[in-house]
Amino acid sequence: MKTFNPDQQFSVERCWMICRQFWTLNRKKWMKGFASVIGLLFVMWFVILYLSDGNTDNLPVLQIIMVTGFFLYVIGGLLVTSSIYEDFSSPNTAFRLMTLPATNLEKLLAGWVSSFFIFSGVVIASLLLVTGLIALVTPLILEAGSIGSSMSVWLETVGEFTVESLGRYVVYNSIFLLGAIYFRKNHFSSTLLYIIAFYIIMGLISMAISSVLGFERFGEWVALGQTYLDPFEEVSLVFKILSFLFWTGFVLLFLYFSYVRLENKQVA
Amino acid sequence: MISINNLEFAFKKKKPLFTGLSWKLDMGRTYGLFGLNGSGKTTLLNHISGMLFPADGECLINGTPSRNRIPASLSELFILPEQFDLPSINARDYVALHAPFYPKFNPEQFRETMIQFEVNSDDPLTELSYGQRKKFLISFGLACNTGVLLMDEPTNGLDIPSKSQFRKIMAASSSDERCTVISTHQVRDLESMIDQITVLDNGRIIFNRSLEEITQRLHFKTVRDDEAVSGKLYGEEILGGEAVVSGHNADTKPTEIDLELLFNAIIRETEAINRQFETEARA
Repeated sequence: MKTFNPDQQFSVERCWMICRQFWTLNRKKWMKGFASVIGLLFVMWFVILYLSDGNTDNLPVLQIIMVTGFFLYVIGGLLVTSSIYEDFSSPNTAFRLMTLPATNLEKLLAGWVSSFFIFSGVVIASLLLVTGLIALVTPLILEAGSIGSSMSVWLETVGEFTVESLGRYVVYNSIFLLGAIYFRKNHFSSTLLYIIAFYIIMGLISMAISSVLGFERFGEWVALGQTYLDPFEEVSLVFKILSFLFWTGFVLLFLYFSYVRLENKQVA
Repeated sequence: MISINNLEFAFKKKKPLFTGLSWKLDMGRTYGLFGLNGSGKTTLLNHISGMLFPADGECLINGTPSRNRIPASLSELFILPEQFDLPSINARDYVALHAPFYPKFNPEQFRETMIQFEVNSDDPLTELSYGQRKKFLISFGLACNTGVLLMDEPTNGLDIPSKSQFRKIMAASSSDERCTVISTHQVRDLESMIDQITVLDNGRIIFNRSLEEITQRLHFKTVRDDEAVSGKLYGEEILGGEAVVSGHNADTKPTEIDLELLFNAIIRETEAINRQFETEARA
């Protein structure tokens, strides 16, 4: 049996083995969720086709399926992220990962790689396949429009959906990864509550500032800030790059917080 | 070697459990860590394994603080918790996913121990009984051949033949390169397995002696109700007489240690028992 050298340097082999552990321990749960989403998308497709009674000229079937699919990708991913360190929730299971001879960085990166890269790779590839199939088959079933135009709609929108969803997911993934390590239980709901509380507090602060500065002026600044911070808004390339750097820094900062939290994690 | 120096620790909103606890453990020895429920045995093992951090003081494994949880230290440590859950995979998959992290893992030793314990490697671990799962984890822990092996109540949940099997397996796997700590309140289960007895009470080590020292300085015997015993330190009534711990003197032959009686004596007559060792040492 091949064993790993227990040195302190980062080991891709050890990290990958922890990814394999996450996959092996969670695969049943993940596969069920994955199959449910794919099933749901097909059911939605059939329902829309049935309700449209063959007339889908004004009904964006493909867009509805894609919006739902990519929304569920993000939500599903956050659920997966929240549960990735579930072993730490209980002293009965914590010993396995906590005393596993690997560095904390390897344990963190294994969680991140599994919940972001591997999850996104598998789910997005599947979504592209399913939505592509729907784009291909829908015109044949309805005898409305042509395959060519349906596929061109898919080709035009799929890239945008993918990049936007990935962008939003990578940011929220880093927050939920911290929540997965930080909270002792109910990781998803606790993280969600903190995010909601953050938005409420920011809203209250904004209201307080706007009452001092004048609502219109402050509202303009907020709108401007939102525009420049959102990399998917139509702004100049410079602001897109700045926005990209800001969110990259944000993700790295949350990964760092997660690392620190993992280093100091205790279970009794 | 494990070295615990001035360990201080308290659970949140509770009174301090450890206040300056120190303990040195050597390689090649098996320590029986005894104590009443709530005395801090599990918490101490969690500190040694790095799952808990001291508020003050340190816990070192081969000179490295266990709280650092670095691969070099962790690959030399295996902890068998009292209560544990295993994933829904079979023993073979578990080994494939975990064993590569332990450089001295011996697959043949694992297979043999599993056979001795009569545990089936093909069944999902979640479908095994608690005792079977414990036997699996004991087999895995022993096969890792780590320098430090911590076992928290290893015989809990084992049936009588398995307890006997456990003693045999532990005796066969003892090594000069391993320090084993077995924590339990079922002292009888560890007879003939340990080299050193350490008793923890309210977060303090109240007794820490090797079996050789105990044999030299304490005498265990059963006497009739009307029989007088000189140098009696502790006694407890048994059917038809009294089990007694007394100071050893030059005229008496060394006796076999009655672990349960010794434990009770240490808990109830701590000072008298320890004084015996000090007196003898001075003499």
